[in-house]
Amino acid sequence: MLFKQIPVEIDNDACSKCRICVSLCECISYDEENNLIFINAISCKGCGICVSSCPSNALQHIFDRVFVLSESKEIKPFDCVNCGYEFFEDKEKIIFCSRRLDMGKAIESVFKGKRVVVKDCLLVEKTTTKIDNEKTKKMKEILELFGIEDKIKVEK
Amino acid sequence: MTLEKIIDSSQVFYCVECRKCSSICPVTRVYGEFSPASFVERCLIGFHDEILHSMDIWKCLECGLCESVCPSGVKFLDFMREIRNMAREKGNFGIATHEGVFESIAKLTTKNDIKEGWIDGEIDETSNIAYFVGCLPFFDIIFKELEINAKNIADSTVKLLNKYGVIPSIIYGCCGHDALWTGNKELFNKLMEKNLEILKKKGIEKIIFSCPECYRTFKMDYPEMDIELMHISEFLDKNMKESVKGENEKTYTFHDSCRLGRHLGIYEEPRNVLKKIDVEIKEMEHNREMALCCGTSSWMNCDWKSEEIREKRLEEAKHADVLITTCPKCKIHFKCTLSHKNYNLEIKDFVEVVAERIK
Repeated sequence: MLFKQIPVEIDNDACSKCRICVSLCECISYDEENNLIFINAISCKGCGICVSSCPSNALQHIFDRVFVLSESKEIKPFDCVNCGYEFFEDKEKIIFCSRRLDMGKAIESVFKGKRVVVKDCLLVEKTTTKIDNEKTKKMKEILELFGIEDKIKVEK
Repeated sequence: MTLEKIIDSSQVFYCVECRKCSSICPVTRVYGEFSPASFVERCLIGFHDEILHSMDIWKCLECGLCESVCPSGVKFLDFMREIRNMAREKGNFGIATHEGVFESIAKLTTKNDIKEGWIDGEIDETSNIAYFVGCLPFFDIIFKELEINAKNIADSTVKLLNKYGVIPSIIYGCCGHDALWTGNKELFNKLMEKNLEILKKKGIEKIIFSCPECYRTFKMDYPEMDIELMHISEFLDKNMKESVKGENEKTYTFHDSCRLGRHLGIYEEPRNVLKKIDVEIKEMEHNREMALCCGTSSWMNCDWKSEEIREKRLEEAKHADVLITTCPKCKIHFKCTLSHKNYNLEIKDFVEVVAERIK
């Protein structure tokens, strides 16, 4: 789900408030009043730089967790399992892993005349979402509105 | 443009340091370190580089509350806009929400046309009265889970226009509002050129808007045109002569969006129309000129503090069952908060409410 993508969570009890992550990322801020670290969930892209920099392992990626809002609404946040898939871009095309599709960057690439290829995760059996996930569908629908259908390709 | 010139053109040096702006700013209330007054002060003292590289400049909501209380007429919104433009040149882009998808869509709009035929209703492509849809088609896709029903807003608008004898031609496209307010003037100019070309080609004499942001941009930021511009509430207020009776089981309240209210000064027209269709409004504590913002603007900087601003606004609407807003973006933002917070409230667009009553 796009509007409340929560790729990283913080365990504020384990956190030593060293604020290395704050200095690394604009999406993380420190609340001095309450002595807490906050993650801007809407802007975070889940790059993982904060996770790898945290000395006390308080920051963790969220995998395969479903947040249930109501009976009919479920939120599937970040679904990457760090399979090691390489992000690739050249003059002709841009390749995303289906679980790390960045819609802004993808549409901008189409604007620049590139093809967008969405490939499946290398560790496909470990993740639960299908390759044709919500985001890929949304991407396709947006491009369809512009009458562009041949620029995005989903590959196994 | 240098910062000195920006200070000149936006009359920032008129500031008398009364700090009324900081005391009323909705962002300052939740974000202690952001303050319009100290911003102006720092700029006047000469911390130019620090300002251009700070992330604080992206926190401003451009709601215009500060300008409405300023005793010396500092044009803070113009000041902010120019500073953002300069910051962009220095490589400070801010944090865009939703992965920057809306900026990319705007960029793509300059190159490709949006497919027609999205709206149901009577449409005449040769008509010289146009309805500017804006980015409504994309809201339905990107915020699918929130059930924004943007198509219903557009359909209702066309239905109401048809009812009062207008068969409009439809203009799809991006007005460039978000590009302008995030300091991307280059993109804004491209979008403006494209829109003006379409208007010229179609020979449009009158445009009707359902989105206050498009209306503001066409009216205040585009060069002067020989075209009549109208918001749907103004159109209905002018053309609706009859009054309609309806059941009033629910309590309604009205949220003035910043762009239609403080920027354009349209407060009474939508209220008049709602009175005509027998919808009684119980006003919130802050209404009209003092209305609070929905917490995010131009798809920038949405975090847990923005959520707090939204919750404050929704807290004020607790006495009502339905919150009527004129701006589709306000609808999106409130619906987002409603999706994970417990409020017994329904968010509806102004045109949806009117179209439901008028059969």
